This record gives sequence, structure tokens and C-alpha cells, in this order.
Amino acid sequence: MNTRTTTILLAMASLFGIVPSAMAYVGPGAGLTLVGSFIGLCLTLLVALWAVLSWPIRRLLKRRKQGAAGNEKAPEMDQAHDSPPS
Amino acid sequence: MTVPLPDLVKIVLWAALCGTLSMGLYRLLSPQKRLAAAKDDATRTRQTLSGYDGSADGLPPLIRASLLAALRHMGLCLGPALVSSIPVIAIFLWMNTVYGTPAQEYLPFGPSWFRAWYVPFSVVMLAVSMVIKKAWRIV
Repeated sequence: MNTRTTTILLAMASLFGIVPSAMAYVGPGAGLTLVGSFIGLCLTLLVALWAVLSWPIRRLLKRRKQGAAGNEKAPEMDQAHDSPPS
Repeated sequence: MTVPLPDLVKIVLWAALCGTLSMGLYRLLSPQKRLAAAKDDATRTRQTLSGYDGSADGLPPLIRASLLAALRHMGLCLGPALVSSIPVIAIFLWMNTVYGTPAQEYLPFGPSWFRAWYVPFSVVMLAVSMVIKKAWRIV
């Protein structure tokens, strides 16, 4: 975002400071679309937060799974080594 | 010969007109193809992020892409949604002067606030808008 855009956005946002209340309305169907996109944004934020917070746990679980799979394979290989050639 | 319509019927007709006008304007003003693409993109990136199972370095670009897609979708529909509300606000204000006196009740049931003109008006307008949204496949 460049300096000009930032200045314009800040100037617009500062207008909220001088009005006592803002009356606004969004029409029904189009409003639903807008609400839908807002819910999408909120969902994305939640998914992002979940992805970041759960990443260490998921990583740990993945390693455990991989470790367990490795341990299962190891005895099989040992057995194959121990059995006499037929 | 003109037959005077009951007020409730008039309110319902105005509500239907309002919903149609608002949705028509929104469809006309909004870039529907770009909106559909933006919506798909937002859903796809969110699903990718949700199912991500790779290294930590891969997370920030995915989060960034996902948030940008969601913001783009919202940005595309914000302007048309606000502009298409203008006729609704105008009709709403006019109706409030005609039907909005405290003594007037338009529904035979429910608490007093429920009997006001804006209850049937809002319900019908919302229903008509949703039907039109579905029928015209408005994104």
C-alpha cells in the first residue's frame, strides 16, 4: 500500500471520530452476499489461526505415526533376517 | 373502476418491488464473473490452507494467499452491495412516513413491535431477494 492510499484511508477513517453515530443500511440480497463474503473472511482468519496453532501438534502426530510405521517394519525385517534360508 | 388494496397487500407489493430492484441493480453493477472466480479462489485457498500438512515455511504464503482471496471477494461485492441499497433506503424512508405511525398495526398477531409495517416488509423483501438471487444465479 503506498503513502497516498494510506493517507486517504486514514483521513476517511478519522471521519468516524467526528460523527456521533453512523446510520447505515445494506440491501437484502446484496447484503446477504456481503455477509457471505464477510463470513468467508472470518472463516479464513479462523482457519489461518488454527493452521498456525495446530501445526506443532499435527507435526508431532505425523512424526509419531511415521515412527510407529517404522517400528512395525523393523521387526518384520529382523524376522526376515533371522529365518534360515529354505 | 379502481379497487383500493388493503395496506398489508400494498406493503407486500412494495417489498417485492424493493427486493427486485435491489437485486437487479446489484446484478447490473457487480462484476459477476470476477466475483464467481474470486469466491471460488477464496474457497479453494481456504481448503488448501485447512488441509496443509507440509513444513512451517509453507504456511505464511498460504495464509497470505487465503486472506488476500477472501478480501478480494469482499472488496468486489462491497461497492455494488452498498449502491444497490440506495433505492431500498429511499423506499424504506418513504414507507415509514406513510405506514410508520405508532397506531397502525398490520399483522393480527404477535407483540406490538411485530405488528409494525416493517416486519412483513422486511420478510417479503428478504424472501423475494433470495428467490431472485437463486433464480438469476447471482454471486
